[in-house]
Amino acid sequence: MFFYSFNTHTKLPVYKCTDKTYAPNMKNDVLEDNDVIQDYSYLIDEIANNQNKQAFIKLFKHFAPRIKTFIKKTGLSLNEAEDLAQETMITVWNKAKLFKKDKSAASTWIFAIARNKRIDHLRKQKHPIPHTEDLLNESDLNINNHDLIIEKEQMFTYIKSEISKLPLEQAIVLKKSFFEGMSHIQISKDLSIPLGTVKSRIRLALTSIRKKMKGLH
Amino acid sequence: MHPTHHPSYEILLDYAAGNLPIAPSVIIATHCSICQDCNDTLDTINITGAALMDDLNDDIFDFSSLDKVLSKLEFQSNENDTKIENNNGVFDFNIPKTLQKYIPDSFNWKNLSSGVKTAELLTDDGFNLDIYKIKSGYQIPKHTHTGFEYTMVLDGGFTDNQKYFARGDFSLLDNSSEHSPKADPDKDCYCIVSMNSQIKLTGPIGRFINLINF
Repeated sequence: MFFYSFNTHTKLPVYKCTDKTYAPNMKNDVLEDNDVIQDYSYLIDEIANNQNKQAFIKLFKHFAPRIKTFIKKTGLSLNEAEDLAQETMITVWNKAKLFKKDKSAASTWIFAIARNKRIDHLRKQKHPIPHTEDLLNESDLNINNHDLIIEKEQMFTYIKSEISKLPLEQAIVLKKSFFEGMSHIQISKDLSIPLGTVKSRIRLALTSIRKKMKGLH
Repeated sequence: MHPTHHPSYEILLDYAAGNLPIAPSVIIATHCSICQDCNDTLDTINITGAALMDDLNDDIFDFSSLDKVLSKLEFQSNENDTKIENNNGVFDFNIPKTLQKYIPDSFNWKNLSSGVKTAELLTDDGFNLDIYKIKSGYQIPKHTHTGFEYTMVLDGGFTDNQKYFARGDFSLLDNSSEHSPKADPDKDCYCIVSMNSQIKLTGPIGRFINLINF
Protein backbone atom coordinates (compact mmCIF):
# COMPACT_ATOMS: atom_id res chain seq x y z
CA MET A 1 0.00 0.00 0.00
CA PHE A 2 2.90 2.31 0.67
CA PHE A 3 4.02 1.62 -2.83
CA TYR A 4 0.96 3.31 -4.20
CA SER A 5 1.13 6.20 -1.79
CA PHE A 6 4.41 7.14 -3.42
CA ASN A 7 2.72 7.36 -6.77
CA THR A 8 -0.12 9.54 -5.64
CA HIS A 9 1.76 11.93 -3.39
CA THR A 10 4.85 12.42 -5.46
CA LYS A 11 4.90 13.82 -8.91
CA LEU A 12 7.08 11.40 -10.77
CA PRO A 13 8.99 13.11 -13.54
CA VAL A 14 8.20 11.74 -16.98
CA TYR A 15 11.08 9.99 -18.68
CA LYS A 16 11.51 9.30 -22.33
CA CYS A 17 12.45 5.75 -23.02
CA THR A 18 12.78 4.08 -26.32
CA ASP A 19 12.74 0.49 -25.19
CA LYS A 20 9.86 -1.20 -23.44
CA THR A 21 11.01 -4.76 -23.89
CA TYR A 22 12.72 -5.06 -20.54
CA ALA A 23 10.30 -3.14 -18.41
CA PRO A 24 7.54 -5.65 -17.77
CA ASN A 25 7.68 -5.04 -14.02
CA MET A 26 6.58 -1.47 -14.21
CA LYS A 27 3.00 -0.86 -13.24
CA ASN A 28 1.06 0.78 -16.04
CA ASP A 29 -0.75 3.10 -13.69
CA VAL A 30 2.54 4.58 -12.57
CA LEU A 31 3.38 6.06 -15.90
CA GLU A 32 1.73 7.23 -18.99
CA ASP A 33 1.50 4.61 -21.69
CA ASN A 34 4.40 5.73 -23.83
CA ASP A 35 6.81 6.49 -21.03
CA VAL A 36 8.47 3.60 -19.37
CA ILE A 37 11.46 3.83 -17.10
CA GLN A 38 14.06 1.31 -18.16
CA ASP A 39 14.06 -1.30 -15.43
CA TYR A 40 17.73 -2.12 -15.11
CA SER A 41 17.08 -4.22 -12.00
CA TYR A 42 15.05 -6.56 -14.13
CA LEU A 43 17.99 -6.93 -16.53
CA ILE A 44 20.30 -7.91 -13.66
CA ASP A 45 17.73 -10.45 -12.44
CA GLU A 46 17.61 -11.87 -15.98
CA ILE A 47 21.38 -12.40 -15.82
CA ALA A 48 21.18 -13.92 -12.34
CA ASN A 49 18.34 -16.30 -13.16
CA ASN A 50 18.69 -17.03 -16.87
CA GLN A 51 22.23 -16.06 -17.84
CA ASN A 52 20.53 -13.80 -20.35
CA LYS A 53 23.16 -12.28 -22.67
CA GLN A 54 20.65 -9.97 -24.34
CA ALA A 55 19.92 -8.45 -20.96
CA PHE A 56 23.66 -8.05 -20.43
CA ILE A 57 24.07 -6.28 -23.77
CA LYS A 58 21.38 -3.77 -22.83
CA LEU A 59 23.07 -3.10 -19.51
CA PHE A 60 26.45 -2.81 -21.22
CA LYS A 61 25.16 -0.28 -23.73
CA HIS A 62 23.83 1.95 -21.00
CA PHE A 63 26.49 1.60 -18.35
CA ALA A 64 29.84 0.87 -20.05
CA PRO A 65 30.17 4.34 -21.66
CA ARG A 66 29.21 6.03 -18.39
CA ILE A 67 31.66 3.98 -16.33
CA LYS A 68 34.42 4.69 -18.81
CA THR A 69 33.77 8.44 -18.70
CA PHE A 70 33.57 8.34 -14.91
CA ILE A 71 36.90 6.55 -14.57
CA LYS A 72 38.58 8.69 -17.22
CA LYS A 73 37.47 11.81 -15.34
CA THR A 74 39.12 10.58 -12.16
CA GLY A 75 42.47 10.93 -13.89
CA LEU A 76 43.17 7.46 -15.24
CA SER A 77 44.19 6.92 -18.85
CA LEU A 78 41.80 6.10 -21.67
CA ASN A 79 43.04 2.50 -21.74
CA GLU A 80 42.69 2.06 -18.00
CA ALA A 81 39.17 3.54 -18.14
CA GLU A 82 38.23 1.19 -20.97
CA ASP A 83 39.67 -1.85 -19.14
CA LEU A 84 38.01 -0.99 -15.83
CA ALA A 85 34.66 -0.39 -17.56
CA GLN A 86 34.92 -3.85 -19.11
CA GLU A 87 35.98 -5.41 -15.81
CA THR A 88 33.08 -3.72 -14.04
CA MET A 89 30.60 -5.15 -16.53
CA ILE A 90 32.11 -8.63 -16.24
CA THR A 91 31.73 -8.34 -12.46
CA VAL A 92 28.09 -7.34 -12.98
CA TRP A 93 27.64 -10.61 -14.87
CA ASN A 94 29.53 -12.68 -12.29
CA LYS A 95 27.91 -11.15 -9.21
CA ALA A 96 24.39 -10.67 -10.58
CA LYS A 97 23.07 -13.15 -8.02
CA LEU A 98 24.28 -10.92 -5.19
CA PHE A 99 22.27 -7.94 -6.44
CA LYS A 100 19.26 -7.20 -4.22
CA LYS A 101 16.72 -4.98 -5.86
CA ASP A 102 15.01 -4.26 -2.57
CA LYS A 103 18.29 -2.74 -1.33
CA SER A 104 19.43 -0.57 -4.19
CA ALA A 105 18.78 0.51 -7.73
CA ALA A 106 20.82 -1.15 -10.47
CA SER A 107 22.62 2.14 -11.20
CA THR A 108 23.72 2.49 -7.57
CA TRP A 109 24.94 -1.10 -7.40
CA ILE A 110 26.89 -0.82 -10.66
CA PHE A 111 28.33 2.56 -9.68
CA ALA A 112 29.62 1.01 -6.43
CA ILE A 113 31.30 -1.80 -8.38
CA ALA A 114 32.92 0.70 -10.76
CA ARG A 115 34.09 2.87 -7.89
CA ASN A 116 35.58 -0.15 -6.10
CA LYS A 117 37.37 -1.20 -9.31
CA ARG A 118 38.88 2.27 -9.57
CA ILE A 119 39.98 2.32 -5.93
CA ASP A 120 41.33 -1.25 -6.04
CA HIS A 121 43.25 -0.37 -9.20
CA LEU A 122 44.99 2.48 -7.36
CA ARG A 123 45.63 0.63 -4.10
CA LYS A 124 47.29 -2.56 -3.03
CA GLN A 125 44.34 -3.61 -0.91
CA LYS A 126 40.64 -3.85 -1.56
CA HIS A 127 38.29 -1.06 -0.54
CA PRO A 128 36.62 -2.06 2.74
CA ILE A 129 32.82 -2.19 2.48
CA PRO A 130 30.37 -2.56 5.38
CA HIS A 131 29.28 -6.18 5.64
CA THR A 132 25.51 -6.45 5.45
CA GLU A 133 25.37 -9.17 8.11
CA ASP A 134 26.77 -6.81 10.74
CA LEU A 135 23.70 -4.59 10.88
CA LEU A 136 21.48 -7.63 11.24
CA ASN A 137 23.67 -8.85 14.11
CA GLU A 138 23.14 -5.64 16.06
CA SER A 139 19.92 -7.09 17.35
CA ASP A 140 18.16 -4.00 18.63
CA LEU A 141 18.44 -2.09 15.39
CA ASN A 142 15.13 -1.56 13.71
CA ILE A 143 15.70 -2.97 10.26
CA ASN A 144 11.99 -2.83 9.46
CA ASN A 145 12.28 0.84 8.58
CA HIS A 146 14.22 -0.22 5.56
CA ASP A 147 11.91 -2.78 4.11
CA LEU A 148 10.96 -2.40 0.49
CA ILE A 149 8.40 0.36 0.47
CA ILE A 150 8.91 1.86 -2.91
CA GLU A 151 10.80 0.34 -5.75
CA LYS A 152 14.41 1.41 -5.70
CA GLU A 153 14.51 2.01 -9.44
CA GLN A 154 11.74 4.58 -9.15
CA MET A 155 13.40 6.15 -6.18
CA PHE A 156 16.69 6.42 -8.08
CA THR A 157 15.02 8.14 -11.02
CA TYR A 158 13.29 10.59 -8.71
CA ILE A 159 16.41 11.28 -6.59
CA LYS A 160 18.47 11.77 -9.73
CA SER A 161 16.14 14.52 -10.88
CA GLU A 162 16.39 16.12 -7.44
CA ILE A 163 20.19 15.95 -7.47
CA SER A 164 20.22 17.80 -10.79
CA LYS A 165 18.49 20.67 -8.98
CA LEU A 166 21.20 21.06 -6.32
CA PRO A 167 22.83 24.51 -6.17
CA LEU A 168 25.88 24.60 -8.44
CA GLU A 169 28.30 25.30 -5.57
CA GLN A 170 27.16 22.07 -3.84
CA ALA A 171 27.24 20.02 -7.04
CA ILE A 172 30.81 21.17 -7.77
CA VAL A 173 32.03 19.91 -4.41
CA LEU A 174 30.34 16.52 -4.91
CA LYS A 175 31.75 16.18 -8.43
CA LYS A 176 35.26 16.99 -7.25
CA SER A 177 34.92 14.29 -4.64
CA PHE A 178 33.53 11.58 -6.93
CA PHE A 179 35.26 12.44 -10.21
CA GLU A 180 38.49 14.17 -9.28
CA GLY A 181 39.52 12.01 -6.35
CA MET A 182 39.77 14.95 -3.96
CA SER A 183 39.23 14.73 -0.22
CA HIS A 184 37.25 17.57 1.36
CA ILE A 185 40.56 19.07 2.53
CA GLN A 186 41.95 19.00 -1.02
CA ILE A 187 38.72 20.53 -2.37
CA SER A 188 39.10 23.41 0.07
CA LYS A 189 42.61 24.08 -1.26
CA ASP A 190 41.61 23.57 -4.89
CA LEU A 191 38.71 26.02 -4.74
CA SER A 192 40.53 28.35 -2.31
CA ILE A 193 37.56 28.33 0.03
CA PRO A 194 37.59 27.73 3.80
CA LEU A 195 37.35 24.14 5.01
CA GLY A 196 34.17 25.04 6.92
CA THR A 197 32.51 26.13 3.65
CA VAL A 198 33.32 22.81 1.97
CA LYS A 199 31.95 20.91 4.96
CA SER A 200 28.73 22.90 5.04
CA ARG A 201 28.19 22.47 1.29
CA ILE A 202 28.60 18.70 1.65
CA ARG A 203 26.29 18.65 4.64
CA LEU A 204 23.62 20.78 2.93
CA ALA A 205 23.69 18.68 -0.24
CA LEU A 206 23.53 15.31 1.52
CA THR A 207 20.93 16.43 4.06
CA SER A 208 18.61 17.67 1.34
CA ILE A 209 19.02 14.49 -0.74
CA ARG A 210 18.46 12.35 2.36
CA LYS A 211 15.35 14.31 3.23
CA LYS A 212 13.99 13.65 -0.26
CA MET A 213 14.73 9.94 0.15
CA LYS A 214 13.05 9.82 3.54
CA GLY A 215 10.05 11.66 2.14
CA LEU A 216 9.50 8.65 -0.09
CA HIS A 217 9.29 6.18 2.77
CA MET B 1 23.04 0.03 21.66
CA HIS B 2 23.18 2.73 18.99
CA PRO B 3 26.45 4.58 18.54
CA THR B 4 26.19 8.22 19.59
CA HIS B 5 29.42 9.58 18.10
CA HIS B 6 29.53 9.40 14.30
CA PRO B 7 31.88 10.30 11.46
CA SER B 8 30.91 13.61 9.83
CA TYR B 9 29.30 13.76 6.38
CA GLU B 10 32.53 14.95 4.78
CA ILE B 11 34.45 11.98 6.19
CA LEU B 12 31.75 9.59 4.98
CA LEU B 13 31.94 11.22 1.54
CA ASP B 14 35.76 10.99 1.48
CA TYR B 15 35.47 7.31 2.37
CA ALA B 16 32.68 6.47 -0.09
CA ALA B 17 34.35 8.27 -2.99
CA GLY B 18 37.62 6.47 -2.27
CA ASN B 19 39.49 9.57 -1.12
CA LEU B 20 40.43 8.28 2.31
CA PRO B 21 43.43 5.94 2.82
CA ILE B 22 42.62 2.31 3.50
CA ALA B 23 43.39 2.21 7.24
CA PRO B 24 40.88 4.91 8.26
CA SER B 25 38.53 3.51 5.58
CA VAL B 26 38.42 0.22 7.47
CA ILE B 27 37.32 2.12 10.58
CA ILE B 28 34.59 4.01 8.69
CA ALA B 29 33.36 0.82 7.01
CA THR B 30 33.27 -0.97 10.36
CA HIS B 31 31.36 1.88 12.00
CA CYS B 32 28.86 1.99 9.12
CA SER B 33 28.44 -1.77 9.34
CA ILE B 34 26.97 -1.43 12.84
CA CYS B 35 25.43 2.04 12.65
CA GLN B 36 22.13 2.21 10.78
CA ASP B 37 22.18 5.99 10.60
CA CYS B 38 25.59 6.22 8.93
CA ASN B 39 24.71 3.25 6.71
CA ASP B 40 21.72 5.27 5.48
CA THR B 41 23.98 8.25 4.84
CA LEU B 42 26.27 5.98 2.82
CA ASP B 43 23.26 4.90 0.76
CA THR B 44 22.54 8.55 0.08
CA ILE B 45 26.15 9.16 -0.96
CA ASN B 46 26.18 6.11 -3.24
CA ILE B 47 22.93 7.11 -4.91
CA THR B 48 24.38 10.59 -5.41
CA GLY B 49 27.52 9.18 -7.03
CA ALA B 50 25.46 6.88 -9.21
CA ALA B 51 23.17 9.73 -10.29
CA LEU B 52 26.12 11.92 -11.21
CA MET B 53 27.70 9.04 -13.14
CA ASP B 54 24.43 8.41 -14.95
CA ASP B 55 24.76 11.85 -16.57
CA LEU B 56 28.19 11.07 -17.99
CA ASN B 57 27.30 9.52 -21.30
CA ASP B 58 30.11 9.08 -23.78
CA ASP B 59 28.97 9.59 -27.35
CA ILE B 60 32.17 8.28 -28.85
CA PHE B 61 32.20 4.99 -26.96
CA ASP B 62 33.57 2.18 -29.08
CA PHE B 63 31.15 -0.72 -28.76
CA SER B 64 33.51 -3.15 -30.48
CA SER B 65 34.71 -3.98 -26.95
CA LEU B 66 31.33 -5.57 -26.31
CA ASP B 67 32.28 -8.69 -28.30
CA LYS B 68 35.45 -9.05 -26.30
CA VAL B 69 33.51 -8.78 -23.05
CA LEU B 70 30.82 -11.21 -24.22
CA SER B 71 33.50 -13.79 -24.99
CA LYS B 72 34.71 -13.54 -21.40
CA LEU B 73 31.33 -14.21 -19.78
CA GLU B 74 31.21 -17.61 -18.19
CA PHE B 75 28.37 -19.69 -16.95
CA GLN B 76 27.74 -18.88 -13.29
CA SER B 77 26.92 -21.79 -11.06
CA ASN B 78 24.78 -21.49 -7.97
CA GLU B 79 27.69 -21.78 -5.58
CA ASN B 80 27.75 -19.29 -2.79
CA ASP B 81 30.71 -17.06 -2.18
CA THR B 82 33.21 -18.35 0.31
CA LYS B 83 32.42 -17.38 3.85
CA ILE B 84 34.76 -15.18 5.80
CA GLU B 85 36.57 -17.05 8.55
CA ASN B 86 35.41 -16.22 12.00
CA ASN B 87 38.27 -14.90 14.07
CA ASN B 88 36.26 -14.39 17.19
CA GLY B 89 38.41 -16.97 18.96
CA VAL B 90 41.01 -14.31 19.69
CA PHE B 91 38.49 -12.09 21.50
CA ASP B 92 35.63 -12.69 23.86
CA PHE B 93 33.41 -10.11 22.15
CA ASN B 94 31.85 -9.90 18.73
CA ILE B 95 34.15 -8.60 15.98
CA PRO B 96 32.10 -7.09 13.13
CA LYS B 97 32.47 -9.15 9.92
CA THR B 98 33.63 -6.03 8.11
CA LEU B 99 36.71 -5.98 10.32
CA GLN B 100 37.33 -9.73 10.61
CA LYS B 101 39.44 -10.14 7.51
CA TYR B 102 41.97 -7.63 8.85
CA ILE B 103 42.41 -9.52 12.13
CA PRO B 104 45.26 -12.05 12.02
CA ASP B 105 44.88 -15.53 13.50
CA SER B 106 47.45 -14.93 16.19
CA PHE B 107 48.30 -11.78 17.98
CA ASN B 108 51.58 -10.22 18.94
CA TRP B 109 50.56 -7.66 21.48
CA LYS B 110 53.12 -4.96 22.05
CA ASN B 111 53.13 -3.28 25.46
CA LEU B 112 52.87 0.45 24.94
CA SER B 113 52.69 1.17 28.64
CA SER B 114 51.57 -0.65 31.77
CA GLY B 115 47.90 -0.23 30.79
CA VAL B 116 47.96 -0.23 26.96
CA LYS B 117 48.73 -3.00 24.51
CA THR B 118 48.60 -2.62 20.73
CA ALA B 119 48.83 -4.86 17.68
CA GLU B 120 49.24 -3.64 14.13
CA LEU B 121 46.62 -4.75 11.59
CA LEU B 122 47.86 -2.94 8.49
CA THR B 123 49.76 0.04 7.27
CA ASP B 124 49.36 1.85 3.95
CA ASP B 125 49.59 5.33 2.51
CA GLY B 126 51.03 6.84 5.68
CA PHE B 127 48.27 5.54 7.92
CA ASN B 128 48.48 2.50 10.14
CA LEU B 129 45.60 0.54 11.64
CA ASP B 130 46.10 -0.89 15.11
CA ILE B 131 43.96 -2.58 17.69
CA TYR B 132 44.34 -1.12 21.18
CA LYS B 133 43.59 -2.79 24.47
CA ILE B 134 43.29 -0.40 27.37
CA LYS B 135 43.22 -2.01 30.80
CA SER B 136 40.09 -1.38 32.86
CA GLY B 137 40.36 1.85 34.81
CA TYR B 138 43.60 2.89 33.07
CA GLN B 139 43.94 6.50 31.94
CA ILE B 140 46.24 7.20 28.99
CA PRO B 141 48.52 10.16 29.85
CA LYS B 142 47.54 13.50 28.33
CA HIS B 143 48.80 13.78 24.75
CA THR B 144 48.31 15.31 21.31
CA HIS B 145 49.08 13.98 17.83
CA THR B 146 51.12 15.35 15.02
CA GLY B 147 48.38 14.38 12.54
CA PHE B 148 45.00 12.64 12.56
CA GLU B 149 43.71 9.93 14.88
CA TYR B 150 40.62 7.90 13.89
CA THR B 151 39.17 5.68 16.62
CA MET B 152 36.25 3.30 16.98
CA VAL B 153 35.36 1.39 20.15
CA LEU B 154 34.98 -2.37 19.67
CA ASP B 155 34.25 -3.37 23.25
CA GLY B 156 34.03 -1.69 26.62
CA GLY B 157 34.16 2.07 26.72
CA PHE B 158 36.19 5.12 27.67
CA THR B 159 35.65 8.66 28.83
CA ASP B 160 37.55 11.44 27.10
CA ASN B 161 37.19 15.21 27.48
CA GLN B 162 33.94 14.60 29.38
CA LYS B 163 32.42 12.57 26.56
CA TYR B 164 31.64 8.88 26.84
CA PHE B 165 32.50 6.46 24.02
CA ALA B 166 30.97 2.98 23.87
CA ARG B 167 30.89 0.15 21.29
CA GLY B 168 30.58 1.56 17.78
CA ASP B 169 31.38 5.12 18.77
CA PHE B 170 33.69 7.01 16.45
CA SER B 171 36.14 9.81 17.13
CA LEU B 172 38.42 11.85 14.89
CA LEU B 173 41.07 14.06 16.42
CA ASP B 174 43.62 16.31 14.78
CA ASN B 175 46.77 17.99 16.04
CA SER B 176 44.77 20.66 17.83
CA SER B 177 43.17 18.22 20.25
CA GLU B 178 44.72 17.26 23.55
CA HIS B 179 43.22 14.29 25.31
CA SER B 180 43.56 11.66 27.98
CA PRO B 181 41.04 8.83 27.53
CA LYS B 182 40.19 6.70 30.56
CA ALA B 183 38.84 3.15 30.23
CA ASP B 184 35.75 1.99 32.14
CA PRO B 185 36.64 0.89 35.69
CA ASP B 186 35.13 -2.58 35.34
CA LYS B 187 36.07 -3.67 31.82
CA ASP B 188 39.02 -3.64 29.42
CA CYS B 189 38.44 -1.40 26.43
CA TYR B 190 39.26 -2.50 22.87
CA CYS B 191 39.47 0.04 20.03
CA ILE B 192 40.62 0.18 16.44
CA VAL B 193 42.80 3.19 15.88
CA SER B 194 44.27 4.68 12.71
CA MET B 195 46.93 7.37 12.86
CA ASN B 196 49.26 9.06 10.42
CA SER B 197 51.15 10.65 13.23
CA GLN B 198 53.04 10.22 16.45
CA ILE B 199 51.72 10.61 19.91
CA LYS B 200 53.15 13.57 21.80
CA LEU B 201 52.74 13.38 25.55
CA THR B 202 51.86 16.79 26.96
CA GLY B 203 51.48 16.37 30.72
CA PRO B 204 54.37 17.34 33.07
CA ILE B 205 55.56 13.73 33.47
CA GLY B 206 54.69 12.96 29.85
CA ARG B 207 57.02 15.60 28.53
CA PHE B 208 59.80 13.91 30.46
CA ILE B 209 58.87 10.49 29.01
CA ASN B 210 58.92 12.05 25.50
CA LEU B 211 62.56 12.88 26.06
CA ILE B 212 63.41 9.29 26.91
CA ASN B 213 61.27 7.55 24.29
CA PHE B 214 61.46 9.66 21.17
